[in-house]
Amino acid sequence: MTGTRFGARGSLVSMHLADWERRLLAEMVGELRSNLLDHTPARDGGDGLDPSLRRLFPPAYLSDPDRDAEYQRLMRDELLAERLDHLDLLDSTLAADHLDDEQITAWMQGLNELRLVLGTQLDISEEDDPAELDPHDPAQRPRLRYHYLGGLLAELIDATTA
Amino acid sequence: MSPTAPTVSPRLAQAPAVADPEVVRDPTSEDEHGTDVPWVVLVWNDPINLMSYVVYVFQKLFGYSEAKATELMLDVHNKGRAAVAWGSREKAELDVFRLHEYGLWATMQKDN
Repeated sequence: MTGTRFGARGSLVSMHLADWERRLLAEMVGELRSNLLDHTPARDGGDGLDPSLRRLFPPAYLSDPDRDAEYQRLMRDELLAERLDHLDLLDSTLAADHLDDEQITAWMQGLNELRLVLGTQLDISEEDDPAELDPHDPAQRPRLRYHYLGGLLAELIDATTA
Repeated sequence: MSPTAPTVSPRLAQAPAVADPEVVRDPTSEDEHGTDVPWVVLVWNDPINLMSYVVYVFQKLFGYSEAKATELMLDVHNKGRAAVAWGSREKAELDVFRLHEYGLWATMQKDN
C-alpha cells in the first residue's frame, strides 16, 4: 500500500490529512475517550467491563484466575491512563504536519485501539472485505470507518519503517 | 490477523533490521536458553490486528530482525499463537503489559 497521508522525513513522519479525516478522527477519539471513562471499572478485575472494551484490557493469565485478578488490579489503571494519554496526544496533533517518535507511537496505539473497539463491536472476521461495502449505505458506516482506520494505520507503519 | 495490509510491503522489506536501536538486544542469548527462565510470553491470533502492525511491534519491543518478527507473526497467524519472549515472571509480566499497550492479545504461562 503506497500512502500519501504519511511520508518518511528523517526521523520524523510527515502527515497530510484532509479536513474530513481530522474531523472523523476527532469524533472517534472523543467517543472512545468517553467510553473508556464511563465504562472502565477501576479495580474490579474484569467484571462489568463494557464488552466492546475487552480487547483493550485482555487477560495476562489464561488459566490462573487469581494471578490474572492481581495483574488486572495492578495494571488496569496504568493501562487505562496510557490509553487516555495517547488518545489525547493523537487528538492534539490532528493538524500537525509531522509526527515525532513519541507521537508516532501514540498514533499507532490510538488508531489500533479505535480498530480493536470497532472491530469487537462489529464482530469483524479476517475475511471482511471492504470492497463489498457500499459507501453510500449509512448502515455500513461503522465497517467503512473500521477499514479506513486500518488503511491509515498501514500507511503510518509503511512511512515509519521506510 | 487482518490481511488488509500486505504481509510484507516492499517498503517494509527495506526497513532496517531493528526498528528502534535503543531496545536492541539479542533475544536468543540468555532469555531463550538460560536455565532460570520458567515463563513464556505468548501472542494469540486475532482478526483485527494488521499483519504489518504485529511485525512492527515485535521488532520495536523485542529487537527482533524483520525476518524473525515476520516468522513469528506468521506463526501467530497460521498456528493460532507464538511464543515471543521468555524470562522471569516479572520480566514476562512487563512484556505482556507492553504488548497489551500495543493492543496485542498476549498472555504468559510457565514454560514447561
